[in-house]
Amino acid sequence: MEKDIESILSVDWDIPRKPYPPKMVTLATGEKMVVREVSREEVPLLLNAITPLLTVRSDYYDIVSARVYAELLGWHRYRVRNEYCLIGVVDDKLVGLVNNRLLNKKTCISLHTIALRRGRRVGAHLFAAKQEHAIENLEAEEILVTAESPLGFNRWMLEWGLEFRPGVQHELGGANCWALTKEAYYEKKPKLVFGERPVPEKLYKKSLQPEIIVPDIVSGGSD
Amino acid sequence: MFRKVAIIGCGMAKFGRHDDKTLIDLLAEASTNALDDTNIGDHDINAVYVASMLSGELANQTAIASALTDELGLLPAAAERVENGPASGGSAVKNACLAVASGAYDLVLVAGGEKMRHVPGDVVTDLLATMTHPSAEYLQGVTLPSLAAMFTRLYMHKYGVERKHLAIVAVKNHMNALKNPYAHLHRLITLEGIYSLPEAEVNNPIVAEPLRLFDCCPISDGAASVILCPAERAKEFCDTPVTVAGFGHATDTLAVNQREDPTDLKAVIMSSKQAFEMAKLTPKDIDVVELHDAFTILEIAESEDAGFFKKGTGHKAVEEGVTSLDGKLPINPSGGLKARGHPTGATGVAQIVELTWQLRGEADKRQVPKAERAYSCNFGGFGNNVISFVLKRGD
Amino acid sequence: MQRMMGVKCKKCGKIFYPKRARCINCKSKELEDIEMGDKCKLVTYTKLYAIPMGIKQIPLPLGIVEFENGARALGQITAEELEIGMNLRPVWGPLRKIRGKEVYGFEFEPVVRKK
Repeated sequence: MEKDIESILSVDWDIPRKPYPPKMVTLATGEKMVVREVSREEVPLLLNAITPLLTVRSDYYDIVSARVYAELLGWHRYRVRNEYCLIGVVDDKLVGLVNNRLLNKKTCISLHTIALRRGRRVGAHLFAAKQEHAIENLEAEEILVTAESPLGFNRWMLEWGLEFRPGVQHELGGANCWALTKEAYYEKKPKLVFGERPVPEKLYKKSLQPEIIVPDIVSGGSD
Repeated sequence: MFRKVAIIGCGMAKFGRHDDKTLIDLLAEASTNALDDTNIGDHDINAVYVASMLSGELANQTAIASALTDELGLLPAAAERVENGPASGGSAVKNACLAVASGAYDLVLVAGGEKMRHVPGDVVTDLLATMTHPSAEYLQGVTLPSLAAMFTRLYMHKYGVERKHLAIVAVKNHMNALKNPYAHLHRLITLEGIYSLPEAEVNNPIVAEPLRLFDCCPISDGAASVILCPAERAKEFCDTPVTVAGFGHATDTLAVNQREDPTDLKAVIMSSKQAFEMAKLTPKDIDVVELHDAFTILEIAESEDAGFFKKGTGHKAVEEGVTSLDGKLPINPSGGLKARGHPTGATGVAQIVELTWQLRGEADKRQVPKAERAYSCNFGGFGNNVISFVLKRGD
Repeated sequence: MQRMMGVKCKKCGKIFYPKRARCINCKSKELEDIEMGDKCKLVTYTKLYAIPMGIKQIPLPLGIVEFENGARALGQITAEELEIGMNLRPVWGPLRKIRGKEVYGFEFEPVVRKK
C-alpha cells in the first residue's frame, strides 16, 4: 500500500533534462571558483552548510535560508518537481549555492541565491549561472524572479533589467514577480555571464568534496 | 610665533563593522590606546577635540566631545567637536595643534570616529551628498561618486589616465592593508580579477561611469586618536616624539562646476604649499605619504597637486611602482581609505596615526625603511576643503 | 516659462552660476541677474548607477555644461548617448523627490544644431 501512495506523492523531473557543464570563474580576489551542478545525494551537505543562517536576521538570510532548506530537502525527498541546484567552490570550500525549478518546458521559476563567502560577487556569478542553465541548456523561454531582500532587488531586478509582471504571483509566497525572457537574457549575457570551460581537471576534482565554511555573515569574517 | 608641537601618543580602534559597539565605545577605545601609548602618568589632558561628521545623524549623539571627555574621565578638560565633512579629522588635529602652539594648552587629546555601517548604504550616501552644493548639485541627484566620476572622465580625457591605473591603485592599497591589523578590508584583489579578465565586468561593476566598485572606498565604523604636547616637553612623555613640522588648510568652490579647471585641486595645491612652507621642506624631502583616496582617482590627482609628481604624470608613477610599499615614494602604506576604510571623522586622524607609526619605526610589516619625514592630505567635500600636514621624526 | 538665470558681477563682469552672496572673482556685492541663454556644451559627464533616494531613473546621466558666456552649471542630462562637446540646452523639469516631495530645476537636453 505504502508503495502505491509513495508513487502518487513522489515527483521528480518530468521534462527533458541536460546536465550543467561546469565552469571556472575568476573572482576579484584572483580566486578561481568552480561552478557545478550538485546531485541529490549532496543535499545533506548543503543543508548543513546553510543551517547557521536560519537564525540570522540581517540581510534576510533567515528567510532565504529557511526557504532554500525546504526546497533542497524537498528535492532530496522527491517532493519538489524539476529542481536543480548549482554550487560555487573555491579551493575546496563551498562558497555559495543557487537553485531554480522548472514549472514546465517553457517557464523556469528562479528560487534562491545564497553567498556564504561575501564581498566577491559570488552570488552575482551564481545567479547568472543558474539562469544560463535554464535558458541555454534546459531551453526555457522565460524565468520568473522575485527577491526577498533589497540587496537582491538591486542585484537582480536592476542589474538584469527584469520586466515587472503586474498581477502575477511568484511561487515564493505570492510575492511580486519579474521576468527574465530569453531575449533579455541573451542581450545581457555579454555583460553578466562569464566563465571558462572546461574546468582544469585538478580543480574540478577538488570541487567534488567541498568543505563547509562558517558563513561570513555569521563569523563576521567579512565587512 | 608658534610653539612647536609634538605627537607623543597614538592609537586606533580597528576600522570595519562594529554592531556591538557604540560610537563612544570606539572613540574611547582609540583614545585609551593613545593614552596607554604615552607616558603622561598623572598629568592632566587640558583639551579634547573630537572629529565626527555624522555623530548626531547616525549615532544619536550630538556634542560628542563632551560625552567622550566624560567617558574617559578627563573632566574638566576643555572639549569640543569639530565637523568639517570628511576632513573633520584633519581639522581636529589642526585645531589641537593651534591650541598647543598658542601656549593655551599643553596636553591635548584628539579623537576622530564614526559609526556608519548600521544604516542602509543609500541613507549614508544621501547624508554624504548633503556636503555638496544644495541647488547646483544635491537637487540634481548628485552623490560623491558621481562627482568623482565626472572628475575622472575629465582626467582621462585631459591626461590619458586609464581604468588600468585606477585598478593598480586599488590592488596596491588592498595589498598594503593586509599588513595593517587596523584596516577594514583584509582582502587581496588582483588586477586580472578587477580589470583584465572578462569577468571583471561582474567582479568590478560600474558605480558611476567610469568609476567601478573597487574605485570607491568602503563605508566603515572606527576611530583613531593622537595626543599632542609642546615639542619642548615631548621627551618627558615619549621616547620617539614626532613633530608636526607644518600644516596647511585651504578651501575651493563648493560647486564643482565653478572651478576654473575642475581637474585642478586648488585646495590641495594651496594647503600643501602652506604646510611645506611652514615646515621649511619640499615634497622631495618626504619619505612616506598618506593621501585621501576616497576614490582611486583622488590618490593620483592629490599626488600631483600636493607636489610629488608633475601634473598629469601621477598615473605613470603608479604604473611604474614608484608609489608601492617598496617603491621610491610609498603612498598609503596603511591601505588608504580604499582598504583601511573611511569612517569619515576618523580618517584624518588615522592618517596622522599611521605616519606617526611610520616615523617611529613601529609600522611592522608595512614599515617604510628609514622614514624621517611624512606628508598627509585630508580631503573634505569634493576637494573644496583640504588640510595638509608635514610631520618629522624627532626635532 | 522658466528661464535659467545666472549672476553677473557689475564690478568685474564675471558671470557665474549658481548665485552666491559676493562675486567669486572680486568679492563685490554688486551682482545682477543675467539670463544664461539656451546654448551650452557638455564638458564632462557620468552615468550614475548607484542612484540616490528619490531618483527612479537608472542610470542617471549627470554632466557639467558650459554656456557661451563662460559660466558653467551641473545637472541631469536627458540623453542616453553622451559625448564631451555635445550641444545641449536647459529645460525646466522634475529632478527628484526629497522627503516625498517632487522638486524641479534645470536639466539639459540635446540640441541638434542646424548648419
